[in-house]
Amino acid sequence: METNADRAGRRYRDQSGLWARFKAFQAVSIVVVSIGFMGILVLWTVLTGGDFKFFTVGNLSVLSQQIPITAIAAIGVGILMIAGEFDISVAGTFTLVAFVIAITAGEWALPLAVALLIGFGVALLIGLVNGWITCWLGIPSFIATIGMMFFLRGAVRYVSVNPETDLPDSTLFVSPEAFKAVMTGHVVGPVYAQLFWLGLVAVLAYLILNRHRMGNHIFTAGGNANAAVSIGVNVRRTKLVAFVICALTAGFAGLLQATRITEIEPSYATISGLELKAIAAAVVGGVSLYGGRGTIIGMVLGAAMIDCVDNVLVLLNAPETIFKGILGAVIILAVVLNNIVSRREVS
Amino acid sequence: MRKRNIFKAALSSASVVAAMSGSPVVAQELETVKVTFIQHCCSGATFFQPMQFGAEEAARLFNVELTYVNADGDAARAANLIETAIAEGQDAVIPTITVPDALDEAIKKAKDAGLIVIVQNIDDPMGAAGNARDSFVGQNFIASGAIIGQKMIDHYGLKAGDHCLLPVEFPELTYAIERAQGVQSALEPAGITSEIIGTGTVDAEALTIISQALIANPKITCAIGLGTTPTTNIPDAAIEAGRDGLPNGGFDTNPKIMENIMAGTTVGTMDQQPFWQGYLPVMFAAYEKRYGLKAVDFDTGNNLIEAANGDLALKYGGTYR
Repeated sequence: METNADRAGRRYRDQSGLWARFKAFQAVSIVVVSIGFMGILVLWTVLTGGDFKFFTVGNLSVLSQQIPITAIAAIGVGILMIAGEFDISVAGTFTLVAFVIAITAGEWALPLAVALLIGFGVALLIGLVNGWITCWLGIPSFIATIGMMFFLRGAVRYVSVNPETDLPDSTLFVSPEAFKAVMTGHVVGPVYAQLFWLGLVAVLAYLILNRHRMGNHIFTAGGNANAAVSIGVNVRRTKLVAFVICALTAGFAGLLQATRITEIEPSYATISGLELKAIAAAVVGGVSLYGGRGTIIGMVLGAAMIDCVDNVLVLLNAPETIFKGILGAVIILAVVLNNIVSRREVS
Repeated sequence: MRKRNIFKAALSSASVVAAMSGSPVVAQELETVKVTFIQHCCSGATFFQPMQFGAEEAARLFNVELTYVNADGDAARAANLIETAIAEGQDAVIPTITVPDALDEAIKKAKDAGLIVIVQNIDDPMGAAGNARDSFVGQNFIASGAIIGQKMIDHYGLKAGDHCLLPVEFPELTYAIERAQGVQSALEPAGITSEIIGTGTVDAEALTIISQALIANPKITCAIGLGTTPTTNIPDAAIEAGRDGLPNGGFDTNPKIMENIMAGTTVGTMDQQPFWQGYLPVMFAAYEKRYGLKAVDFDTGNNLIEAANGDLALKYGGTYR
């Protein structure tokens, strides 16, 4: 007959087992959804006798250059969402930082290190201003960063003006070959350097979020700001840090893109949709829209999921007229599945 | 819309019937050629409808397996789509070079992988010297700009001291810069000045921007739209600004532009014939792949459409025109 002590022991054993640890892992839902998605792609590849080219080196090369851009932006946006705030100005930061670095290193002929410092200084400033308006002036971040989005679009057009034509113009980012190799060079097979940068950013973000007191403050500030205040968390400062992280990651993603493509368009700030894509990636990855919940691995997998779905639609020759509709439907489906798995995980 | 679908269905049926009734080569017997066509932006914009219609018609006639995708105005996405085409083992890729150097590396990769690369709509300003592409199918923007500029002078009697507004969707892109150069090459010798403003591709926003510019600057005495969106909206913007009858002309065709031309509200438009920009690159790719016939540069036209020659452009707006 099982005694209370036995039951307690079994519960303890179960809780410390592999399955319990897996269930306790917050990102289990997006991991399960991602595995399911990959399973479908493998099955499709087998059924089509290899005609479906998703798992080719060439196609994975494309993804290994694209996913890090989305994922790095999503990590910043996701951390800010965990802190209970939004940033709609990500595409503007992304583009402006790239322009500032390209112009200071190119036209102004400053050393690249100085150009990078100026570029990331601009990102830092954007994050501080967003945070200040939201946390000190009490303006909802959604509104504050929409204002910043329009301001940055204007700033991008201003700094991109070609003196010869007096009109906004694209700008070349000519970086030393060694820099380009380190930032975006081909490593082996489908692996490009951007993947390592994504790894580095993800690890740093994980350490801040899960192994540092600041991470606890971010979760608490986003989950229940009043409770956070009552236990001595400086909510305003915590959210300010999250805004700065968001702007810096957006700027870094912009640097990676500019290094790879070597030419930056002012219209990117307006039409890329990166801000919504990054928010969608974070939500698909299990970040709560209400704050207080989310994981770095979830954000990365969410970004990977969105870029992979986009890629698969191209490979399947989805009609251009319904392409976006399918992409949106798949994102909604991923969020719903993620939500269902999350509920089962809780129960 | 229903009428248009019926029209499309009729056209498709006619093509099938033609193919089955002894056309020179039966498409189904030909080796399939796989082509990726990359529209550079603006899903749903009327300008691109004839382009997609042309690409699909050529694909049907020449047994091409067509992948028609949209880069959403993002050069990085366009580069990704070119590299995806390489990975898919496509025979040809047909991109647009909206900014001069952004696709150089991707195009070189495509050439190295053995793909045919035909640029449509907008080319590198340096032409073939600008990158590794095989050929360009599109308009000579500078020459066409000069034609519409001169037409404005001749028709409206513009003179020294007049000032033209040149609205355009994306002032930074090559097509805008070169069309503006062409227009100014006609206006400036006559002492006519000009200014450029950006409108984006959304009609409602363009309408507001142009009307505000007209209200803000009473010195503006004429307007030349450097792209489909502004050309479409200049007449309505002039009415909103209380400047009904403002001399205007522009570039590209769509049903609204053609209505304005036929009504005499707009003097004319430079037609770059987007149908050819869809049709010809696909056909070139199929013929080069099968028969080794090299794709060539093709100027799709510096054709000025006015009320006198606009009937067909109005009738076939959205399909062939």
